[in-house]
Amino acid sequence: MQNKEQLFTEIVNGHKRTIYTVCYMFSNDTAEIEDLFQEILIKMWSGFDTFRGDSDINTWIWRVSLNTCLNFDRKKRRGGERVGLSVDINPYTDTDDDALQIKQLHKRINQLGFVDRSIILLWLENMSYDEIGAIVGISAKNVSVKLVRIKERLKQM
Amino acid sequence: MEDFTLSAELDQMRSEYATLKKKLDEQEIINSKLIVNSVKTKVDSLDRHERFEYVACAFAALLSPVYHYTFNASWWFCLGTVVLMFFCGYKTWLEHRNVKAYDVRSKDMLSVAKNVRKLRQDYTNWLNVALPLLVVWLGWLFAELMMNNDDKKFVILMAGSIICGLLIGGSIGLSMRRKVIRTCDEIIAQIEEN
Repeated sequence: MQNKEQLFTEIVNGHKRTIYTVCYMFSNDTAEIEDLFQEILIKMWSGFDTFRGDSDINTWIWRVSLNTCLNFDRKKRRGGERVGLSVDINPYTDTDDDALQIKQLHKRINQLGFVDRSIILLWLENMSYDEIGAIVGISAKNVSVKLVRIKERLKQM
Repeated sequence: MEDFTLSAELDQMRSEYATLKKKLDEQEIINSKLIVNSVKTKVDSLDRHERFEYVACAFAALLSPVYHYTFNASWWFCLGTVVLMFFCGYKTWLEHRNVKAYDVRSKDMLSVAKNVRKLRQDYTNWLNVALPLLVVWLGWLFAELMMNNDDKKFVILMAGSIICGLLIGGSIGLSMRRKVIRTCDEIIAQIEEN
């Protein structure tokens, strides 16, 4: 049990940026980000025993994170028990150039639909079309077509 | 495949994304102990909720002999109630098992959305199954109550209690059903907004 906790903590620490990236790209509310982050960890923890390395850990974490964002039950998280994770940062509240860039990215991405948002995030993570397709549930060819459409939409923004 | 990468907007997004990653990497976001504690607390809480639902069904099934001892309902009626409760528990498990855990951890996003649609459909159709069952069960209950009791006052008192219980339980159940359907609608809308 101790080993499991240690391993889980190591994995979360190693991939916390990925999880936070997903949370930040799907919300700009600090409390909601905390809740989403917590919800993703819960899904990861409860699936940790069944994860046998069939897929890359990074792909698995992206899959769990995106699916959790999709499935996030507002009522449950408002009414549910919460243990604060002491999230001390919020890139949106800073005022330097970096924060402005991040806000701009958030604004662009949030004008896209959920699937397109996920695809562009995975593409920004330098994932292959095959990997993106496996996470989203479409073919690599379809990923390519969708990315071209996303590019067109981004141009119009 | 068309080359997706030749675009000023995308170059800019890449740069903005790199900034976000840099910013997140620079920060000590969470305390390791808090991660495990938080997850354990929430998982325990979810498990409690799930257990509560099954315990409620089992409790209702185990209480069914009360009908026999309070208003002389037949043992067949008690058995019918037990079977109904097991059916309700099984149906709930059947509807939720895919959306709850396994999908999120192992399936792709569009498959998850497909299962959410299925859950919504099941919930929408559930009244088609539940209402006839409820009508049959209530009809049976009132028949047992009236046939096996001569005291009119007692029959009226019991019938009033049953109707009150039914109204309270029914409104809680319908409200929960509406919430699940609304949540499913939100998820489906997110997927279909493309």
